[in-house]
Amino acid sequence: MISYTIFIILSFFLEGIFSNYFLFSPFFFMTTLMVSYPFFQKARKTYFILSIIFTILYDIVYTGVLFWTTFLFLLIDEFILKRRDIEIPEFILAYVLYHFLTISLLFSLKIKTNFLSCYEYAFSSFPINLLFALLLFFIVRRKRFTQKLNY
Amino acid sequence: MKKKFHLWIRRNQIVVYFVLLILVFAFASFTVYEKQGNYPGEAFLKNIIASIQNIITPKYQVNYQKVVENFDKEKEEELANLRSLLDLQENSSYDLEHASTIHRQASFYFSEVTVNKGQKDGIKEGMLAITEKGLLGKVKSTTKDTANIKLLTAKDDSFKVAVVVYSKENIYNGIITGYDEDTNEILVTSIRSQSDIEIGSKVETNALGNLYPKGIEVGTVAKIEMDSVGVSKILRIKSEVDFNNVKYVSIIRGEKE
Repeated sequence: MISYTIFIILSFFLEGIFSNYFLFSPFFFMTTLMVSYPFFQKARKTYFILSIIFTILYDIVYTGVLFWTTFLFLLIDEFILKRRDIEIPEFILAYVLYHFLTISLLFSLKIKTNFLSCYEYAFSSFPINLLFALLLFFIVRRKRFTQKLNY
Repeated sequence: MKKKFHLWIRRNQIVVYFVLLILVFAFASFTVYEKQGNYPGEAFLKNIIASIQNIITPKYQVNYQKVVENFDKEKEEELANLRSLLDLQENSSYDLEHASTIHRQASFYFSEVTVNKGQKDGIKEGMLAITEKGLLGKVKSTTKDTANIKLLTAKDDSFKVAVVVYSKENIYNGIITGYDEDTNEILVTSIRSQSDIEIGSKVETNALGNLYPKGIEVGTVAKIEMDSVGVSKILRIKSEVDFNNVKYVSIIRGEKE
């Protein structure tokens, strides 16, 4: 449990560092939260509290929109984490949900008006985020997802 | 009673989440447009993250004055940028503080970057940020060690900068009122309809009102339109600044003494 907490903290910093080198939308932090979920089986309350605190910190430092990532995490937790085992399709579902709702927020607040460029940005960020998810699953669970993708 | 409430929530999850979504949207609107300064603890957190990121970030990004002195041929293009910025310091009549971007998370969405200089370096909210290619944005908030810069590409109605446009024979005053992200052009309005401005005319900041320093390059005129009423012109300005690739920034602290 402690090692996964460290993973979460590391991914928190990794997002900021990676964002410096590429114009892309890192999804490392949420991915790590999702992947860590099964390893807090006996400490669900701790996981929940830890996640709420970290998502609030994430919003304070990175997005400036308080409670947004917390809300998205609650959605992902309720509709994905609690109902299914975390595999690549669930990661993709969470990624799509996260970006769809974030872009909707931007449009509703009139922060962004170019619909296409927002989705291009989210789509172009997907490969690196997928790579990170695969790496994390490999490290954390010691199995390759390429087997599940039927290559 | 508590059990009934929990049961109700479990049965009406979608309604609960929909209500939460509306509340979060409303709160987000407040934090994006009305928030002034930092949240409690925000400055402390950002300073810790900045100090950790400064350790991990390559030394040349943290203190590029020293790197330029020890020339590394492999980083030629990057060093060319750094030299331009340092030349800017020498040739400019302004006191500049050079800084490096430490993270730009959500930058595309919120058009902000965070740099590794802050209050202890004399940076204050409202100061203009530039690159060697021209105007970049303004400082939105600061902590002791960091500053958040709102880029010119952000939708910020409060960020209105007075500019001067040079035609062949005349000089015209205007105001930057926005950014068109569909065409990547800065919008300048309040230009006299009889002006003889042409495509390619240079645009710089104006010290009108003493709010912002003058002579900072904004860009060149790419297109000229009439406003909806037909009273004044709207200029579409192309900037040389690559707003999607901001590594090094200079912040104008004031005039050189």
